[in-house]
This record gives sequence, structure tokens and C-alpha cells, in this order.
Amino acid sequence: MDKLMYEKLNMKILKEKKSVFVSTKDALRDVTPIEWDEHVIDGKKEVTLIGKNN
Amino acid sequence: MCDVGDIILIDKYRQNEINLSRHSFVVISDEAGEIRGLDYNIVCNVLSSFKDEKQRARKLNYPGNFEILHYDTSVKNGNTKDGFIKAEQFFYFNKDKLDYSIIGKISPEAFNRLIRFIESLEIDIEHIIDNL
Repeated sequence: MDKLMYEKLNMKILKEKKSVFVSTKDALRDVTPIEWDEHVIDGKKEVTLIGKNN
Repeated sequence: MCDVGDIILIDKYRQNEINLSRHSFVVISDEAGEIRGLDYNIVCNVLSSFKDEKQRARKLNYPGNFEILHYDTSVKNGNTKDGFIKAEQFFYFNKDKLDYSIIGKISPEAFNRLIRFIESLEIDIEHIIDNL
């Protein structure tokens, strides 16, 4: 069975859509950060790297 | 080096009074490019959590928000809470200027649904380039 691959976002499609430029501050205004366990945030040795080379 | 689909935390990065290190991002593209004369090599969407069920219903009513269930991601020591991706917002970064940690990955199934969701969006796309 073939492994499912990550599809590529066609960046040209984004450019064809109506776009605006906003600041980071405005973009994050309504974002509630995910509260990760401290072992995720502080324990860099605990981080799992699940890249294609691993 | 990060790949498409990775969930990253940006370390010790402040843009004005905004502390980006509190936020989680999904790498949506790792192709280098240029926007308004500025070089970038990753493009990300930000992840957000729900404060409560009432907010969940309200947030998911917004056409740019893409629900992400906790089993759509793989994060070691991660939580079991669901969240959403602000799919109409694209953060452009130059990873050569960033310290970041890869904390996990979104599943290919969920990522590919996200790509189709983005392509079908009929609202304004927001580009965030002030971190370049």
C-alpha cells in the first residue's frame, strides 16, 4: 500500500485570490495559543522529529 | 530543517510586542520565494485552540477556520485537545533567521484536506510578511 504523500500548495492560487497584507499583531489578535505540556515547550530533548529523513 | 506538515514552535522571537514563541505553526510550504521584494523559504499557518465549546462553535462558523482534531496531529507529550488552523492567514518566514523547534507533525490526510480547503477559500487571503 502506497504511503500517503503531502500535497503541495500551489502558491499561484494564493496570488490569484484577493489578498491583503496584515501585521503579525493583527493576525494573532484572535488566536488562542495551544497550551502544550511543558515537556513539549521546554524539553527540547523530548521533541520528536518526524521528518521524511527520520 | 523542517518539512511540509511539520508543527513548529518559534524560539525566542519577538516582533514588536508580539511574542511568537507562544504560538504553534504548521509548515504549509517549504518552497523559497519572494514577496514584495523580501525573500522567504517557509510559509506557515497558525494553530489556535478553543477556549470552550461555545467558542468552538463560533470559531468554526468562520469560513477561514479549519478544524483540526487532536488525532490529526502527532506531537510527543502533546495534549488531546482539538483546535483549528487559520487557513486564510499565511505567515512568511526566512528560517535562516529563525530558531525553531519541530514538535510534531500533522497527518498527511488532514494536511491534504487543509490544502483543498485553502484552494476553495472565497475570502480574502491575509499575508503576514513583517517577520521577514
